[in-house]
Amino acid sequence: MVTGANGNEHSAAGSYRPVTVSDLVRVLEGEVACCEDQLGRLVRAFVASDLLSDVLAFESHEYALLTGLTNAQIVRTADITGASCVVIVRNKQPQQAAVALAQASGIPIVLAHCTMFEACARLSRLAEARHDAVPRTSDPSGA
Amino acid sequence: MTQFHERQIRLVHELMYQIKVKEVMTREVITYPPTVTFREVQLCLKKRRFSGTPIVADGRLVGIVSIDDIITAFDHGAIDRPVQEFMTRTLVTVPQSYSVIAASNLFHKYGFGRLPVVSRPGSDELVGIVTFSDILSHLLLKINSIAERVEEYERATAARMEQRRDQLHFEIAADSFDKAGVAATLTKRRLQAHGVPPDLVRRIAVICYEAEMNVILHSLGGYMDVEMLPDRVRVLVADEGPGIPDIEKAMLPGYTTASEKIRALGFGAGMGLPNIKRCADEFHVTSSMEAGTELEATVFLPAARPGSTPPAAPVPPTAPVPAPQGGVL
Repeated sequence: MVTGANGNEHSAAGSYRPVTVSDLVRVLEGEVACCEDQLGRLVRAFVASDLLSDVLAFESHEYALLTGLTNAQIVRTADITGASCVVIVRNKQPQQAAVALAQASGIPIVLAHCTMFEACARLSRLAEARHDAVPRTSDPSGA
Repeated sequence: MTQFHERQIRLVHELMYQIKVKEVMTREVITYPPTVTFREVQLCLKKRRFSGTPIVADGRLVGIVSIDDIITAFDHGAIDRPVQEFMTRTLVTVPQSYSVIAASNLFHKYGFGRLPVVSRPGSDELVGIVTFSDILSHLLLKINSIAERVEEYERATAARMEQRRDQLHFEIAADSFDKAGVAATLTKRRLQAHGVPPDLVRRIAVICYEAEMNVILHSLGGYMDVEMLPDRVRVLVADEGPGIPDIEKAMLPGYTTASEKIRALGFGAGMGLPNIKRCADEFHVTSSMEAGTELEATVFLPAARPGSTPPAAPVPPTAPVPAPQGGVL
């Protein structure tokens, strides 16, 4: 585990049942900074990091990038790696250049008030709940 | 030979099993009743250049008269007798639903020139007649049409691969952190327009982004060339120094010389060069304190595939791309 420069935790990507960006907004009680029309995008994995090079090292795409950074490079990184959305934690506002680039690339930015840890915990519960909701094979006896 | 060829050749073999007798047989068959004389049949065969004809009674196939049978009848002085006296009665037939390979096997086994085709196995209802040359000519037609498709495919592939030729050039200024990623994003869009598969686009874009960031963060400025060839994309990045003191160390994941300022911006994790190496199929980096750093990364492209997205708009082969001017793409 590496700790980012902004003191946020850094965690690895996992692969889960897909949720949507609007599911993320709901469980994080977040605000949408841009690209409201893109909230239906699927999220299949999560990467939480303040080290963008580390994000670039992950193989996942259609993932949510959780970060404490606010500069335009978070959107560049998201765009280049095919992320579904960017989540900025701890009630920070994205820089103007980040919002403009996100609008141009069609990548929604979600603003969460909670800490990185809390955001990860909530999203982990969301992804697990989705996983459990997968229909199980019914009782072969038909009971 | 390409995989496509091999697949087509297997397909030709499969054709032999797939093509049914009813597709190649002649349906309008000239038949005679058992009461016709050998002479009449002989005149018909001579006129039409046939080598045999089926004999049908009450809609049922009862025999076949071949040239051999006519010669036998002639030997016996029976040329003006009804055919039922000397015709071949032990019939080999082929049902119309059988594959042509089954018919072909019967030809080889019995040495016949033709086979009466019956409606279904065990039936004596005549529905057509098939010769070995019917099968051959039908197969040749099919093979020919496949060969034409292969040729067309190869022409289209060559044209598509030629279309991929493209080159991008970016000047990268030192400390232009706000413009970092512009070159990578432009490269990504261009590769997407050329129909490069998404996973390869991603790898090349990561290479460009990391290399761009290295020049911005660690050098006095430089440039990046992205060369798109039919079978590969080559990224060449050169800077004006001051060079990497210890490349071996720089290749270790996590090793960094980045300042606290750079790290606060989200970079300097010591992952740049390892990331580039991981994404590239071929990777070289040379550095000297005098000449600066030169990095070359290559990603191989699969052969152009049919159905890949053609360029959205024709791109001139060496379209000059202005150095990033800042702002938003």
